[in-house]
Amino acid sequence: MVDPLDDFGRFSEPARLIMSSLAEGPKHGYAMVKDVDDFAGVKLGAGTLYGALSRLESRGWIEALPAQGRQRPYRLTASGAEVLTAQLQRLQRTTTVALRRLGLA
Amino acid sequence: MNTTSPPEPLSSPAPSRPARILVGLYPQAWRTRYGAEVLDLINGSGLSLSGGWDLLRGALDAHLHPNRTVPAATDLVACLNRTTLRTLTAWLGFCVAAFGLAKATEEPVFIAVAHTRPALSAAYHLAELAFLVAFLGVLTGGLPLALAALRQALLRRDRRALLLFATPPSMAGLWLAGLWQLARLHVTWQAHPVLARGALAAWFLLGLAATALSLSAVGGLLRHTMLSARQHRIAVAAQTLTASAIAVAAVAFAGYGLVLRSQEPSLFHSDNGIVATPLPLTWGAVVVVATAVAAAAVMAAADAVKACRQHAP
Repeated sequence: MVDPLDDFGRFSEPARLIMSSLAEGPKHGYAMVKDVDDFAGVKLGAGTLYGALSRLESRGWIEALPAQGRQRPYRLTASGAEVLTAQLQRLQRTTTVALRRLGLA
Repeated sequence: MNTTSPPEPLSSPAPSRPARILVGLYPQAWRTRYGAEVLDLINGSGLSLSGGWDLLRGALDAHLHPNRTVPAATDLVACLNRTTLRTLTAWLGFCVAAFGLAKATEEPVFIAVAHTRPALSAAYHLAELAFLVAFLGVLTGGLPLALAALRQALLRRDRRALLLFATPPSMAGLWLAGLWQLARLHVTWQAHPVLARGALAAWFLLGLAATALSLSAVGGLLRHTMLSARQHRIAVAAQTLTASAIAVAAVAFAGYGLVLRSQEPSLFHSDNGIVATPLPLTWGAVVVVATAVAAAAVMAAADAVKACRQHAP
């Protein structure tokens, strides 16, 4: 099965992190950067963040909510949640196998 | 809603010059959609050397992949998907109306009358021409969309999209199989009129269900497919052409009946309508359906043109 994020190129991992962040609830750009830094230790630059956001929005996996001043919150859509679930299940399978082979699980 | 805000400055400083220059490197449509958000983010978090490099790469990417990275077009895409679906629905309704008129006027006597009544002949030929143009419009607009959808579904190996793609032809096949079964009942039409009419009604309902499923599949497919600006322009032009042709056909359908009524009243009041009903009934239904779908198609095309103008760079 082909990873739907494959054609995101270098934005695939940031896109996954953004979707994971939005799984908690709607957030705007700054909140996403902070959240991703907190839970993944990855500092997303503005260019990378919005490169990934725009691709996710174009696919309909996230959607923009009405702007609050200059900030526009985004939320995960139902199809985005499906994609994220599939991504995480795939990662979980890989992690489980790898940990077992390392004798850590 | 968790929307942690950036540290609030004491005043609202203008974005730094390097930040404005870097954001200015993005395409206009991208800046319109995201520029303020990005500058706000940079204002809150600051701009480092690596952050500047990241923005520079992002700007290059936005220029290289405008269809993927300029979501100012997202609203446009959603709008055009809706108008495409509305036009397709209108065209299918128009086909039903055209089929109704064709069935009602299929007897040789109508052709004979048309030879002696130029106005009747003109109305009929105008309706035929408009039908052909509307069909060409659907073909011109639909074929590139279908090919793009199929290509992308195959590239992504997206089974769901392929299933959606297969739905309309499958439904058409099912409907035609129903027609074939209906044709086999022809021998019992005279002996069992109630059964025959029931079978016809069942086939009609099958057609409605197949159409609804097909349209739903096309809608799903459009949402899965990323189209270029050129493909969108072609789709809008095709929608406009189709809507115009349907509107002309609706006028021709109405004109045909009015001319027939004034010049051949006995024929107009015959029982040549669908399933041997009075012709005025079938003609009235045809005109109502054709007018309704023409209005729907024209409104859809107008919305598509308006959306394109609003999102024009």
